[in-house]
Amino acid sequence: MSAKGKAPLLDNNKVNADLIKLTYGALVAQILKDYEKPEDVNKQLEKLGYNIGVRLVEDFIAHHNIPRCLDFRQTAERVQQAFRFYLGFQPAVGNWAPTGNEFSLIWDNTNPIGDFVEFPDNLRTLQYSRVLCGAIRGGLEMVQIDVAITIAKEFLLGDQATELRIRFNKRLEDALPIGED
Amino acid sequence: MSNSASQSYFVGDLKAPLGMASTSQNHTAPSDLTSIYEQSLKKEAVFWPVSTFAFLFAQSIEYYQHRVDTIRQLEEKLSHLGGQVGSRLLDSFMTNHQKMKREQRILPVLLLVKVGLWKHLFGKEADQLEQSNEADGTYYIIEKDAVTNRFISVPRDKSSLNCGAFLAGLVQSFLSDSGFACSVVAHAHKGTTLVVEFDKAVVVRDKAYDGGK
Repeated sequence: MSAKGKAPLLDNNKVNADLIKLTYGALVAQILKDYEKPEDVNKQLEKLGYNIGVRLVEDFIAHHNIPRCLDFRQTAERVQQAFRFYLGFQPAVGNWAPTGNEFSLIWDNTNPIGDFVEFPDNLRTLQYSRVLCGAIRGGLEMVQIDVAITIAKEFLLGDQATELRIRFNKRLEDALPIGED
Repeated sequence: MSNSASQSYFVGDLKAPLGMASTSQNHTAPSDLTSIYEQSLKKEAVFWPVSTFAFLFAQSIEYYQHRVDTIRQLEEKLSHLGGQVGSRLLDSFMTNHQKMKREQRILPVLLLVKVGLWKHLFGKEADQLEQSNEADGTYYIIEKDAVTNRFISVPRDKSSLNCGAFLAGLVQSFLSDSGFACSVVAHAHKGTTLVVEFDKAVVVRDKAYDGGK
């Protein structure tokens, strides 16, 4: 009985992944129409992702009872966990730099948000996954970790995997709340 | 920190969780299938937390909000966004739908939206489907707790904004692309009410089916 009672609640809190992917795709198309240059679109997508990340981190911590990360490796695990939670599919963490301050998130043979995407040749500089980078950066910034993220491989452009390279920059001290300079 | 210590902890080698996730979710193509034509059209629906959608949708609104002058324009933009999604969704939905059959009458296609499409998208049926008493060819799809409105707090000076416009656009292009030309508008009534107004030609066609009997 309890299982039956719980089902609608669970369902109510889920939406079809296709809807989300298509919505993002439609939004990217719209931004591309507005800005035309792929470089400008990338900036917008980064900003979009950043804004998501900033808000998302609170939601993530509220849903998961997780302790403070003690080192960057734990941070990597958390990021991985967050992807599993929000995008239902967990990337591999790998390619650690020997110094331990740089790692990759790898989705083999897929792009987590790119199922319906086809790239025209003239838009190969458009970074469709930029939103993910922004979200990671925004989220980590809220827990006082400053990172720099690059897209090392993009499955949509013919690579074998989608790989985001995340480099630890510095710990942010005395971070002020957003909007208070 | 020594080199060997950091290398012994190589999380990327944990292929197992990744592989498990991919088979259990039926989410990604096996690597030996290189061509998209060799992959099955039917995919099990994958569901993500509503927060993911909420964050993305909130950012879409924020993006548009600075690029429009009036609330009406904003709703049009959202409706357009939904429309883009709706027409693409039609294909992926129909190939995955059990019946895979083209509906010809108004009522079945509306039920398809209310039950099939809604379950496909949100895992539940829309709350109600009603027919207008006054106008011919006007129907109401009522959703009490629409995902698009659940997390958006509308400021008082913009109280007429209804983010259900996104759903309206989605349903409109879904129906129109299935051969039922219509216009769909979202109203804030009993939650969110999508007012579906079919074109006259569609209504006439539907009546012709009855006449032929």
